[in-house]
Amino acid sequence: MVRICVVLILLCHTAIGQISWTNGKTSLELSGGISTYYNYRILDSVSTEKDKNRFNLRDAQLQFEGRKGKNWEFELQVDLADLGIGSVDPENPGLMDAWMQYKGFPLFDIRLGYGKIAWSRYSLIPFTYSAYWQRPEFLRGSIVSRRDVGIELSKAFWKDRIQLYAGAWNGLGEVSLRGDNDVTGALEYTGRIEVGYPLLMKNREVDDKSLPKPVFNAAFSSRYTKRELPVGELFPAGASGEYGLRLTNGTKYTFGGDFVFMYRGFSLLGEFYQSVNTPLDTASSYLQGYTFAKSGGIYKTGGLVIQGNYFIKKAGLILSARYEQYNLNDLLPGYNERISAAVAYQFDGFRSMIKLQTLHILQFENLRPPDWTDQFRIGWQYLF
Amino acid sequence: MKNTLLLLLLSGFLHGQQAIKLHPIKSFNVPVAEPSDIAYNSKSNTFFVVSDKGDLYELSANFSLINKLYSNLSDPEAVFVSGDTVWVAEERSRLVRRIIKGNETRSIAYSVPYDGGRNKGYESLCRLPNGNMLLLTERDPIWAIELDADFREKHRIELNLKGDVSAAAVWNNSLFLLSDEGSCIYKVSYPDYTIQNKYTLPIINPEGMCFGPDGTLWILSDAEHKVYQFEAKSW
Repeated sequence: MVRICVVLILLCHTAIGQISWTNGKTSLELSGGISTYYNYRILDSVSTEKDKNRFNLRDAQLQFEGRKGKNWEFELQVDLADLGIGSVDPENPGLMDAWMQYKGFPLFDIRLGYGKIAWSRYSLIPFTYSAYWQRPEFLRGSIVSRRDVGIELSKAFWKDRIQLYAGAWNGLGEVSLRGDNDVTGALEYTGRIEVGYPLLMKNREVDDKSLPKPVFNAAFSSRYTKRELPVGELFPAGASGEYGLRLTNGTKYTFGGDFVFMYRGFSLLGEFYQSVNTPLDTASSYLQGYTFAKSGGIYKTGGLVIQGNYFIKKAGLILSARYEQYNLNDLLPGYNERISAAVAYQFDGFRSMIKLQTLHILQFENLRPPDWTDQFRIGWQYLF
Repeated sequence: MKNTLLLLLLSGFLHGQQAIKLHPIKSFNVPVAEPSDIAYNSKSNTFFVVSDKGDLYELSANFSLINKLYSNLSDPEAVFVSGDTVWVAEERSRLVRRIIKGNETRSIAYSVPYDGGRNKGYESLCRLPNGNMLLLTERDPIWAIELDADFREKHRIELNLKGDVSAAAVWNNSLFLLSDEGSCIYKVSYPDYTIQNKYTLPIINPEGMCFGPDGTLWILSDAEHKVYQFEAKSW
């Protein structure tokens, strides 16, 4: 066993970097990653279905990133593990990015295509830079979409310490890839402002550089859409997400904030958001039978998460703990509470890393009671 | 065999010697967006700074803008100057441009092919004591590639430094390599590249480095848009 481990460690130290090609004007880079974990759940006292105790090929990704001159950039990223399986996992879809960006305008950069919406730090942090195998539940894309087809403008100010984003999207999330909008033809509008001091960092959870000075970044995001379906019409299948909450037949306004602090290997992240939903139908089942006088014709969805990490640089070890709380519908009693812990060991930085995550459900609301109490995941990610 | 010996020497140093902490005595704001490297020209007493935006600037001794010398560079990450000639390495296009100042600034491009990561290409450029040019890739792996004056490769060696190399400079026949991720400088001997000293820097995202003739050291912070000056000494 020891011999096998030694061989594995040596193999991981030979991990290669990306491959690229250039003609002196246009450059194209190929990279990718593979990750597999084993998942084990402890069920509650009445459940017997153990189908989630299994190995899972989470990622089989290929990524092409290109640049032409100093103004054009483009990216195509696919996850072969999720292509063609029928359903779309919003945290881990088959097509991850397909966009081009032009940086030649003096007032703003423009990005067009399919990709992540600039709105949530947890959503924007690349998964491979996390010690966890799963994002916080309410930020995985099941309640508010993470990717869409649309256009996004961005602009940096104050020595790049302030970054502004504004976008217009179909509003159906990954389902927009099917081509058509819903029958309302409405769009979703998003905005985000990020501020950093002394600098605005890349989206990361872990201070793997052991920054010699404290760095603080904060952001505020919002998104808005109004979709009023004619009587008898429905949203496209799958567009409303796992909980049926991603779209509202009426008005949906979402706002949130997030921050990250990093210093000498320690990092602290936090995020919250709330969706204010105003159904067109005041007798909507989402209003849980409350009168207009009592509910105001609105229901709210949202949550918060806080996470601390410590990176022991000499050992290549990440230690992390996370607390999350979310509420699927404020008109129902109760809310969800979870705690997680993660340990990651780097053989070759993030390129070759073993990750162990545990998750414990402290409490849940009755809208979607889980049949398990604890979950453990251990696996390996390898990037090339 | 040579590489194995080198690895042993490097790792022996890293585990056996204490790093020296450096503290800046002054800092200057740099009027350049996304600055990525700096070079000092003792003849004109001016600095040359390249920007990720694709421009080359000349700055005065107190870091005020003199002029924009050249545009339309593609991701320039390294700059070296000697007399009226400036060399700029473009990380992604794998080109080194020789820019000659004059009434009409001209440039000649040399192709130095490299198939590694697009964003892990050439970040460091300097002239070695023997007159050859030295290009270094940033990371994964760190190649020190020695080239003649026409940028034809003579040989290369893989360096086993932890992290990356984001700039290189020569002072008094010693080679200095700056690590952005490690926030440190390695002093290495030439031609065997053994580490002689390690200096740590209290600077975020150090991307550029140059020396004055008296041993004054300047470090450029990309993220902070600042140059930090360190006391002149015999390194």
